[in-house]
Amino acid sequence: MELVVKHISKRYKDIQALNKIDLVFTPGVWGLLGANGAGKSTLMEILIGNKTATSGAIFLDGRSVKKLNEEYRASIGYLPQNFSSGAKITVADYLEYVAALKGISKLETKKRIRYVIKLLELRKYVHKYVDKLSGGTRQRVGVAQALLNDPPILVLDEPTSGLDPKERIRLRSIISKMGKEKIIILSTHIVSDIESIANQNIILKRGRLIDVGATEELLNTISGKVWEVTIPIEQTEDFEKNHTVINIRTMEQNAAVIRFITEEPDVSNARIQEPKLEDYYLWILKQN
Amino acid sequence: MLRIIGLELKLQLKAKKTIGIFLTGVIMSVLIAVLSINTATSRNIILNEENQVEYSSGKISVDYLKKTQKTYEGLLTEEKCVEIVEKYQEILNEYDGREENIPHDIYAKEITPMIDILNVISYSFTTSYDGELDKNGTFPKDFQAEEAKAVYRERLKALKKIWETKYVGREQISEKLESREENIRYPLYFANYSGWDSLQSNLALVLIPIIVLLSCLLTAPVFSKHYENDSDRVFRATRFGRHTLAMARIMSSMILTTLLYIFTIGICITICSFVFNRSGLKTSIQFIDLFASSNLNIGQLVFITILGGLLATCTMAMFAICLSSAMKSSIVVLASSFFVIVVNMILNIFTSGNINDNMLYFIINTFSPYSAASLSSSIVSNAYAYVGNSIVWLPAASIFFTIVIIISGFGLCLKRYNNYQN
Repeated sequence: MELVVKHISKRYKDIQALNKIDLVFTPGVWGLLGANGAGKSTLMEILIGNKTATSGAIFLDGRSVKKLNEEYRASIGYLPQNFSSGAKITVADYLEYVAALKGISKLETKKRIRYVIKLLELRKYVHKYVDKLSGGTRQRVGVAQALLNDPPILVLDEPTSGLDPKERIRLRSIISKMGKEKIIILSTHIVSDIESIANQNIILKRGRLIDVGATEELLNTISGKVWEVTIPIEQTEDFEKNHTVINIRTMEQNAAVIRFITEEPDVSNARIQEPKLEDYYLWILKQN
Repeated sequence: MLRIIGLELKLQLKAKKTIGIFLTGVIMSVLIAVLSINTATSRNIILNEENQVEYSSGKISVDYLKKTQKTYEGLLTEEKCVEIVEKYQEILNEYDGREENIPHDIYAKEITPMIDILNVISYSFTTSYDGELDKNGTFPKDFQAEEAKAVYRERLKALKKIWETKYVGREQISEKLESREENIRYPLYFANYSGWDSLQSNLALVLIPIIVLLSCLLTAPVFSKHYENDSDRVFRATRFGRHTLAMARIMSSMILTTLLYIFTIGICITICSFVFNRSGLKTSIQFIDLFASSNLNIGQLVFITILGGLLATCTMAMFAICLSSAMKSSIVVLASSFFVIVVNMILNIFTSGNINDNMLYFIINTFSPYSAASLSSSIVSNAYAYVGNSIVWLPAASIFFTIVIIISGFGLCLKRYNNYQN
């Protein structure tokens, strides 16, 4: 299965939201990284067909998704950012409604609803109103509806938003297992979520595609370049001006541990570190 | 698709707002029924259960007239007209030819039951009469009872005189009205109809506009609510979340609107039918509007009022749904719908005095989504208008454009929802 994004651009009056994006999605988990306004949600909305691109096209296994129309949408599961049901409706009724819209037969609907409720531990919330649930529980309902039709393509916009650490870990595990047979595209601000489950990463900045690659590949480009050094707190400001700083952690006795990226450190007590995806992300944004 | 319509209906029916709207409809329906009963007749002189004279309107008067007008029920033949005028003149002559001299108990017993028929006969003779009238202003001076045989000819004569004055240079309209007049079946039919006329009026002027407003309240958020809270993003990404979902929403809203209408009108009519005389529905509409060039009876008039109201309700609901498919704000949709109804009603009040060959009346009662609500008055008055060199019968134009609005609204809605981008 192959989802090809060819030359996708999206313009809103004076704003170029996406600029000639070319991507080829294959089964696996794809992490979409970028700052606010980078174009992540716009790209996702174009992928699922809720927005039309100004130019470019999308193909699923060689066939235009525009022409596939309902057939394409039948193969998608989508969780939007800030998911809500929009009406006073119970979890059970909402899932039944979405199942009908997804074209799941009546008989199959009951089975699928039971499955997703069990998977996402929603049993005690089945008869509660969706919009009265806590943020994290509501988010799980959002994931549940996305999984109802067992879609080959899952598009999840900030799926871990609002979830507590335990729920995040559980959801990451579910996504990771599904990633073997499905194309899962997920966006998040929490880089560590993507790092632990994404096979491939896409980095966007102001509508442009900055980089695409497997996590190991990307990290290799900054291997040997990530360092940590402990300096007095008063020196941190000067240090930041002259180096690509990723993180500053204050310690006792007026000291700070600074994590930074450089080819060759110009400080004597710098210690080399294992690169993480967050290091790479911040480094590549600064380069561009 | 049926499954999705069912689920949409279930969703909407469960909503507190829908229950509130239906409840409001029921309350208004009962209030209008009570209003129609209380205003069923003007204050009549009647004899109450203790055989005492009383001035009364409402149910007591209706019950009295139901009982006493039974003797006059049936075809109003020319011979019957003569008998009634003879009886009236006989009583009058006992009291110096003046109605105010008649004792109230005699008046209540003898005159009150025949008033409706007397009015038809007397107006037929006096509408275009230039001479002196009798002391009561009821008939031409020295009117002989035998002359009452010519009641229908006199009515036609009076009608022609009215047309001559109204339609100078518009002979085509006069000719059309004359040909419609030829379809009227004589003799006219009479049965006590007290209350049905006030009910018809209250339906047209009060209850139907309220139901239309309630249905707009029901349908205004159909799409716009989901645009506003972005909940449609999930639905639109599903297999049936475009065209099919839009159709399901429109159909379920229209079903709900129709149910609301039938339910509320049904309650009103049912309450009234327990009070009013059901045979009165067979009475010719000339007893309500003497110069109506129409073959309808009161029952048919009430039916057309209800049918016109249903069409207006469906059209306005579709109008609101159509606006909803293009707007994020349900309040703007509702305000726009309200504006259309109010403007239509106000303009109708200003033009109601002369609806034939009145371009403003023609426009608002043809092209407006609320136009079908005036269907009954257009049919009764046989409203015509010149469009270029052709002459158009307004009720037909109104129904035609109502159907056009519903169908095109449906198509426009589907297209807008399909192409909507948040």
